[in-house]
Amino acid sequence: MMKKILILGILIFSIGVRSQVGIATSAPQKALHISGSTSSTAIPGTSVNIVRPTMRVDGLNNTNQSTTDQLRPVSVSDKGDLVLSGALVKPLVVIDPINTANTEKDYILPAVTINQTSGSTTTNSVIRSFNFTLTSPSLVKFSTVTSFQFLRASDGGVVTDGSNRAWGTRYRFSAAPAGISTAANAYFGESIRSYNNAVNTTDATGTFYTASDDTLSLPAGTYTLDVNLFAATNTTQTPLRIICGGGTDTISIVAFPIQ
Amino acid sequence: MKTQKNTLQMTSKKLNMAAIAIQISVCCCAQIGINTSAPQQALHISGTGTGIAQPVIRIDGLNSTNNPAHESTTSTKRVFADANGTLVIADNAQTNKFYTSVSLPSTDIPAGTERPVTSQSFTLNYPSIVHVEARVGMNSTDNISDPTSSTSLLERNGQARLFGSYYKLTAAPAGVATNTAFGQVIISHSTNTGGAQLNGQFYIEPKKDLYLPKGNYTLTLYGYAQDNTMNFAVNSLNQATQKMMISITPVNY
Repeated sequence: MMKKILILGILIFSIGVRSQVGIATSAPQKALHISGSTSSTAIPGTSVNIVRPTMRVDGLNNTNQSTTDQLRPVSVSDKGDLVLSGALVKPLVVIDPINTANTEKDYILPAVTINQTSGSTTTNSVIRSFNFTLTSPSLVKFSTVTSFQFLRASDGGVVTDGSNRAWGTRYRFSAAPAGISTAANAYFGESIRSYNNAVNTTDATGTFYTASDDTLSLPAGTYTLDVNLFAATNTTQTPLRIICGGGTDTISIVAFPIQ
Repeated sequence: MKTQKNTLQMTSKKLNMAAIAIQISVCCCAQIGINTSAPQQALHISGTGTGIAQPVIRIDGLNSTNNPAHESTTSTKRVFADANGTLVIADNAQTNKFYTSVSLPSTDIPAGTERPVTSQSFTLNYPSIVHVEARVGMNSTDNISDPTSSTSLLERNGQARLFGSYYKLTAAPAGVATNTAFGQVIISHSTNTGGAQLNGQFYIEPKKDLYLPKGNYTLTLYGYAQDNTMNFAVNSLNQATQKMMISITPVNY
């Protein structure tokens, strides 16, 4: 009995005064110090090793967290709790023909044909809209590659007036949480090029490609991204027929959550 | 007295292990508090301190002496849990990888052709977002300012002549399309009969984000000259900073 009381007394002294607990060390350097001789074991399917001594938290394991990954990043909550964090990068929209597992291979199917008229030689229209939701504040990278062909609006012939045109794509949010502009001119990711031809050859009509891209820091919420087609002809010159999407048209929207 | 002396000579290791055992038995609630009598989680390390001052956990298996995932004695690593909830750390190559090609070699792109400019192999250890980009300087290599040259006369007709650059994967695992162009930027060069004409340089920036499965890949940058009269070149200036870059971020492990 005396022995037990003595042990308990020593332990309370140890913890109460030093406020430190060592595992396999008599000189803990932190509140909890896990020490001991080291060994290393590979985690199958990864290039990461378990290096001992370390600690195991069953609340972070796959069974309890209903996950199947071999590794998940760990974060700390506002209360200081160790928790699993979300993925470090989240693909929100990916449309291209490179990864054959993609549901969609081309974001403009079928191609869109727009005819300018003599009274209206500036084209400003939404090619396609994409909805996405951010569950946490994120850096979001938008990227599109979009194909164009230019013909004469009246008959589909080659435009040979030698007048310079502007053409390309840009983005705008048509829906976004408070604080993010959905104004009519709140464009981003502009990629506007020039086109000028004077020779009657179909070689000169396309296919052209332009790439819009931008990276924004955005709050959590639900968004609608409009991919906008822009083309402008001088009002006195030949109206264009714009064929958008006849080539390989790809898009990616990728979120990098800010923890 | 002898018994007490022996007790005092117990190693600190044993004492500390015993301390945990006693805490559990005292609490009777499967929770251990360090510096608190009311633990809020299975293990609750309480107290006050800022930065890495107390109270924090030190895990010797994650330090730079024991764990080669540290790039240096001053590196700070993201912590991961494995499938069992065991805490591990991963080196930079497991969280982000970056490849830079050699400087784009000066490459002629004969009229009406596409030509590979440079290739870079890379490996994905996990399904990843792969970002590729390059700045590609291109110019016409014909003498389009000389009114006495027949080539120049042919080309000074105001035609839009398309040129550009894009990528293809020339090696990839199953499920990924090879020899399919992506990340295209294709624009045009137009001349006319009057005055001297400019060959370039025009800089274009083909780039693309792909979501790809694990495996070994080779990415090839192409130059493209659509028109069958006008010749182009990529990086005829031999600018050392014209390169192709690949950055990789795993989506899951």
